[in-house]
Order: sequence, then C-alpha cells, then structure tokens
Amino acid sequence: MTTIDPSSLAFTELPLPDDDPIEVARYFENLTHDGGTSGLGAAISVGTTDLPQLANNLGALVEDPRVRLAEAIVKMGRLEPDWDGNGAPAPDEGAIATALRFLSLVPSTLQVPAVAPATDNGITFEWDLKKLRAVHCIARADRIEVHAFDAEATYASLCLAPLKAAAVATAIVSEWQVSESVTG
Amino acid sequence: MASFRKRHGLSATLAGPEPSDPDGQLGDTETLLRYIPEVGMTDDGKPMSGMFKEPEFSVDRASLKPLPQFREEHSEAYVIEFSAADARQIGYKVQADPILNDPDLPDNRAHAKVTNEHGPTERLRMAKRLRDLVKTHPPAYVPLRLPSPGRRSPQ
Repeated sequence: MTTIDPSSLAFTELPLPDDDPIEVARYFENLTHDGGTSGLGAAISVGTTDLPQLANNLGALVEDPRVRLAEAIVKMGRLEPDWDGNGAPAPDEGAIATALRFLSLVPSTLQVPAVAPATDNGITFEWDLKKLRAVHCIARADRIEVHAFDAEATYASLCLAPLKAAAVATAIVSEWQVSESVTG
Repeated sequence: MASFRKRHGLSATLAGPEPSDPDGQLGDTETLLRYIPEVGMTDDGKPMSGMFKEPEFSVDRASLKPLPQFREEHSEAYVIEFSAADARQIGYKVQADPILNDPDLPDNRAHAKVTNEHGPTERLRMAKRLRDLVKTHPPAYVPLRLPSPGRRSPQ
C-alpha cells in the first residue's frame, strides 16, 4: 500500500498571512489562480455576519460547485436540537460562519467535500478518497479541526484558523488525489 | 450530552454491562438499525462518517424491532443497518440497553448502544470504516416538495 511521507505534510510552515479577511482573499487568489475565487474572496472580505447575505453573495457565483454547499450550510443553521435523533445540539451561528469562510477558502477545483452538521455543534467537511484515506475538517466557532488519516495511520490532527486549515486540507487532498492518479 | 444520557437511560460510564439488561448478551449476529436524517447523508447514498464519531450512539436491535417496523417509526429518514460483529471488528463496543419505565421515553426493549472509548481522530477513522460498510435504506416516505425558485443569473 502506498503511503504518504508524514514529513511532507508540514503545511503549517507555509508563509501564510495573518487571518485577516482581505489579506486572506488576496492571498488565496494568488495561491490558487482560481477565477472563481475572486468573487468568493470579495464575499468574505466584506466581513459580514449576515449569513443570508453572505449566502446570497456566494450564490451569485452560479458556476461554483461550492454554492450548493454554502446554501446547505446556511440551512443547517435552522436545524432544531436533536436533529439526528441522538441528542445532537444544533450547529451554532459561529460554526456556520466559520464553515462558510472555510468553504470560501477551499479551491473550487478541489474534489467537492461532503458537508453535514457535526453532532457536537460544528459543521463537518469530509473528503473521502481511495485507499481508505480521508480528510475531515470540523468547523467550530473559533477554529477548524483538521484530521487526515487512512486505515492504518493518522497524518494530521490539528486545530487551525480557517485560512491555515483550508491550506492544509487543500494540500493533503490534492497530494492524495495526485497519488491516486499516479498509482491508479 | 447529559440530556442524551437521560433520554436514553444510559449509564454514566461506558464500560461494563448494564445491570438492567434483561435480554442478556447481544450476539455478533445481531443486526443493528439506526436512522440518519437526510442532512447527514452524502451524494453517494452513504451516511457521513461524522454521524458515527460520538463516544456513544443509539441503535435498535432488528431481532426485537424488525426493519419494517423500524422504518415505519422513522419513515422520513434514511435507515442504515450493520451487524454487531462488524462494529466489534472495527473496535466498537455494542451492548443491549433496553429502555424500560423511563419517565421521559417510551419503552424500547430493542434499544442498544454502540460505544467507543478512543480519542477524536481514532473515532473518526473508525467511523469512516463503519460508514463504508453499512447498508442503507432510503426513506420509506418521501414528502412532496415544491421546486425551489430558480437562482438569478449574475447580471
């Protein structure tokens, strides 16, 4: 089984700007060369806490696969407690905002993650890849938890600000996707 | 989580058999049922791994509450099934946990609990393995939904 060198996953050492929304937007535009990102960057750079407005901003980009996810995330904010029948609390507004910000920072060219409310207040993003590899990111009000693992080992388990979390998740998913395409 | 424990009559600790378990040991051949709301499902028709990442979650035993009855009780949700043996193979503990004479909940002799004493990342890894092997049943009843208004095109 092909495994990834954990030392290659030290993405937290990337020279990232401070977690300022405008700088984040500029940085990410440069990082991804992704034409769809500029509008998303503009959406988050206004710093709005008005979630419906933010969703509208995101929704204006009809070509972006993240739009459907953004709309779904906003709807998750309307869930009632015990939405899973197992006692889960509803996602809090802070987690929704963090999740939308994180989503806006993930390149639209990356494999689209599955998104669902976490059973403990947050919002979960899941990239399920081949060879039992997975990257799970859980958005909280004040951070993103990043977990990358396969059936045999854990490669990353970090708590990061949205920008760094997006960079780490993007790097791992991208590298594993490349590995899949090489090894088949 | 305290309210969850109260609602489901769970013990304060995860270890050890329930003293109120009148059904004895829950065997490996037992089929376990759980419902998953649509929001917890992925586009490939499987539940999100996150649906199984808690230290404990509730299931019903198909031997005491057959699938048709379970689906009837949760007709608008997806229903997933897996065997106790599969869960134990991954590392979960599965115990009968019947709800009887609870002041807040109806009796449910089929209730069981699946527990996991590992840390968050290991729980996620185990959850992924579980979600990959469960069998999924679509909702028995799908409510009629009006089409959502079309999104405006950018000018």
